Amino acid sequence: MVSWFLVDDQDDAASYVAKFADVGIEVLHKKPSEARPLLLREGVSPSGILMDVDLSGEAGNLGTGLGLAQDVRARQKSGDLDDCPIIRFANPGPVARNVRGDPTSDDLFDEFIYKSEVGRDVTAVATKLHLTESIYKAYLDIRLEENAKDDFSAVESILGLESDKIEDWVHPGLVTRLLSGLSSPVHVSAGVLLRACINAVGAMVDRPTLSMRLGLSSEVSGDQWSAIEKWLGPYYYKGIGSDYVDRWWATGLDQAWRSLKGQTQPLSAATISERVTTLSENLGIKLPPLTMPESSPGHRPWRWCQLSLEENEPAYVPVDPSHGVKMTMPVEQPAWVDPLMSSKGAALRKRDDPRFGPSERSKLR
Amino acid sequence: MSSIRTFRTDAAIIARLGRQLVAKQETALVELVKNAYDADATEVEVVFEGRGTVHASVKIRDNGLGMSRSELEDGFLLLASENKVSNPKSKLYSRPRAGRKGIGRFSAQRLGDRMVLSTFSEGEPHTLELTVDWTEFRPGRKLEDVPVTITELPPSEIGTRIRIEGLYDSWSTPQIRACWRGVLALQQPFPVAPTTNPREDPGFKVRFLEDGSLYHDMVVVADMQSEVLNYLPVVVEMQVDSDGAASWRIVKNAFGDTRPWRAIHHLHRSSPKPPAYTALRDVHMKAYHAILTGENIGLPAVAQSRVREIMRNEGGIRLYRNGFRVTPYGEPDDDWLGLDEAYGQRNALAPIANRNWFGVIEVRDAEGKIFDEHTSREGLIDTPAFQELREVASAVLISAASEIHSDRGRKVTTSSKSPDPEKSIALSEARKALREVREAADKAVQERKNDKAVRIVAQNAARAEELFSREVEVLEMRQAQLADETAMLRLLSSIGMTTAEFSHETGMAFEAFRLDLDPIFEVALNARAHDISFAAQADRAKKALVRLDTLTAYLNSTVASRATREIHPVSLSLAVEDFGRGLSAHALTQSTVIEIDTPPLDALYTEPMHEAEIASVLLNFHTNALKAMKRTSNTRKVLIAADRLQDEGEVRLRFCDTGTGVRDDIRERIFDAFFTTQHAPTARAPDTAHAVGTGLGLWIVQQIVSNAGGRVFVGEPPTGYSTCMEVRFPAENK
Repeated sequence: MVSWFLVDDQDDAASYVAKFADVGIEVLHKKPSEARPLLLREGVSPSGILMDVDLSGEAGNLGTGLGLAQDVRARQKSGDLDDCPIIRFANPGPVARNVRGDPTSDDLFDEFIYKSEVGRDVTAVATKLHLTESIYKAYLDIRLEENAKDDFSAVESILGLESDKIEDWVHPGLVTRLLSGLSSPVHVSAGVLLRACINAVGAMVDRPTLSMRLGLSSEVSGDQWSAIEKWLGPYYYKGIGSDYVDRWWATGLDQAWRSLKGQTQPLSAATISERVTTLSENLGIKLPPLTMPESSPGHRPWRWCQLSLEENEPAYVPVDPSHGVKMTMPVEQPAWVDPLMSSKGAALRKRDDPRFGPSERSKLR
Repeated sequence: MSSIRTFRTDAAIIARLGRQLVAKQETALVELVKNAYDADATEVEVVFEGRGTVHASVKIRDNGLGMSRSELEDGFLLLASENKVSNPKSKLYSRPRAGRKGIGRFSAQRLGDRMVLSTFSEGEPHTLELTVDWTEFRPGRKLEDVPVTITELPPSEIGTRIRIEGLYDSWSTPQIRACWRGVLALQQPFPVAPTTNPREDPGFKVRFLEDGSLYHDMVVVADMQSEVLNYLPVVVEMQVDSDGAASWRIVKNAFGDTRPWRAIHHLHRSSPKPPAYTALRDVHMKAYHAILTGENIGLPAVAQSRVREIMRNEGGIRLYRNGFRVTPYGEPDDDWLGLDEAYGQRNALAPIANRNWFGVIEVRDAEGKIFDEHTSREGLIDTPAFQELREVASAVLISAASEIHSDRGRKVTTSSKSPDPEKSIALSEARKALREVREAADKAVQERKNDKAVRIVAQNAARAEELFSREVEVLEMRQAQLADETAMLRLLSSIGMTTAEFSHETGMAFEAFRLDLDPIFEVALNARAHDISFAAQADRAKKALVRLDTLTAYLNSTVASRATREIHPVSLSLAVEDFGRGLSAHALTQSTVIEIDTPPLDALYTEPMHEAEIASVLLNFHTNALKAMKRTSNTRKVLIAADRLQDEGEVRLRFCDTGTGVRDDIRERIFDAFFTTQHAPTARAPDTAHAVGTGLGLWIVQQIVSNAGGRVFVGEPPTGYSTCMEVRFPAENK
């Protein structure tokens, strides 16, 4: 088994190595001075790289993890180094100092993990590592097949959908990006799938989002959830990486809703009460309704409050778009990715966040 | 032819030498007092009788060694005797001679036309009385031909008494007081009492009195009390009764209210009813306190320099046991209460050094049960009672100085500007100019006594000088307060920087540290699965880790926000919610539940201020609340509520707890600098004891809030709570 590298200037990185070992992931700690020649000169290719941001703790090291990641990507592009995932792995402080507000390095990384997440839930972190690794592996396998370039069937296998479903459920822009990615380095195509599809709410939704959009409280029981999963089975994501994540096609969810008896309007336009009542009646189970927090008014939850997700202890706060406050990202988001929003309460408290445009900001004063 | 002749001396030489050697009447009188000092007297009284009349006289009486017949005849009556030259130190106490060589008799001659000197020395059969009529020393008479009479009288008290009659000069009260000040350097501000070593100097005390008459009692014109001690702004007393219960009070306070008796035990600082001392009994302390920093020490200008000088030379707390002074306690280089050391370490910001105190501790232990002296007479043996005495005295002095410091700082605001050095120079020049105007006006009055206009000018010049001096005093007082405040801020900022650095470094290491610790705990607990005590130990360690973790995270985030120096409107709601998120886990380890109550859709923006300052306010309240709740058996809970007072244009923060509450009588004072409900730690207490309960927390809160245009006070607690600290900030003006 090829190991992951943890590139970190601090000796205490060994603690993370030990923790990853507990969940069966072998990680080797490499100081920057050690990692640089291994990766850039000797072409040693690990399963993946966990890259710290600030590497200045080692004597004589002038670079950052961002710079080293760029060098690695360049080597991968040129074919001198095998493709592998790179995950930004740092504490919030160095990230805030070196990266926040500047998205130019985001494309280098497949995933972003705070070190504190390892302590909180190492299994969840391990799943992220497995997910990225499996996607890279799948893409490499696809590459090995002949004529993969411009082959729509490759997209079908990536997404785990037949062509007619792709036409119905997947945004054409995403299909185009996936197709063009097949002729790009693996890390480019894998990045599209990870960052713009699996890890972004839009084309697909994860379990918390699904639950919220159905108007359900997080206290849904196992049996109740089983019934919902059964109902939404056809829309479950079965593409690459699906062994490690639960996702449902968002358009499929709308389709499933429309098939229910008694619904009179699109799911997003229905109130919590209407959603839960309709669902309960159709599935034959009594479901607990979601309660909107006072800081986030409205009855039609559809998005998450981005500001709350960015807290040190992330909180899932549902937002009714008609009451939420729009946020604009510094780089343009793909059309199939949901726009970011904030709850009104959080936005009022952080009204100076630069992602609020002038019109939103004026409403907050 | 040669013949032998001798110099002859005209009797008038006495008068001539007297005038040349002793020009001023005050000098003459001071010299006679110094002679008493040289004779090892411990007490001298100078008594004026019939002042202002033709029968005026002055008596100088001392309890020195007196003179034997030979000393009188071969010393006092022998002009230019070698006595003082050959014996530069006094006989008994080895005092350096204060009197000038052979000037005493001329001083007596300078003052009046007749002198009666009576003296009695130990071992002599008689009191000797010498009578000299200076009018007999006329020109044309040989000095040897003028008779003086020595009469033998029955033995009397040891010492010397000089009575001078037919005074040549009138004596005003200021002149008499100037004489007292002339011998100030020989005196100490302590009671004159013998020591257990008979050769040790017990001290020297001089009093200038005015004799009583038919309608007046004898009154003190000048002594240590009237010239120095009465000017000292603060007097502190302490007592330990026969059961060992210690208490203290402030009986004089020029900066604020006096304080009644309060119980104290240095190991039970926050207890309103501390236990009695186990060994210490029957102690009384009286201590005078003054502030020496800055230009002004809280005294009238006339007394400043002499008080400052004597305090610097003689400051300290002396120890007296059964009426005898115990050396070396309170000597200039002795720091038996650790006051200089504590002040040097800046454990306390208030002026607590020995030079800030004149004090006396008296212990009564007639049977020698609880205190005992070393056989070498080098102080007391370190018995439990003596240890307790040092601790309680130190705690009282530091507590008192801290409270006085608080009183002095009460009116200081951060908006006060630092004094401009150029202005100080200008002030002293203005003062000099005013004095010259007043002196010129006084002179003009002397020359033109009947000129009403000149008199008015002189009166107004004097008044202007007085008003100016008063205002300068106020200015200098504020300058001193600001200097204190600057020193305090410097200390606080250095503590802040250290805390920031510590929390940053700790925070960086914490994630990895926690990861290592978790498996260590797990392995250890598995290895000792049935050890209940070990499990409890591990649980305590885990909780401590949580406390450290959450506090570090919160401190790090507040420190990060401090990096932004510009001010801007701050969301009170967010600050309170962040605080709740950051400190709830920490509070739970103290069995305390934090409840947050903020309006969901009102961020409660303040007028522009520093974001981190609200966190500082909340942290201060939180720390106080935890301490207060630990002193009760109440269920520990904290409510932090924020809301808007629409009509007042304010946003409000209420921090409520279930602790001991705030007594009505201290509600106003708790925001003063150095105010604390705890007694100060002793000088020898570890730094950690000095770091808590300094009485600065709420003062800082008050400074932050008032600087932001708000106010802080003790509010009415909601049902279920006993304390409510209420802060009002001006709401953002949209």
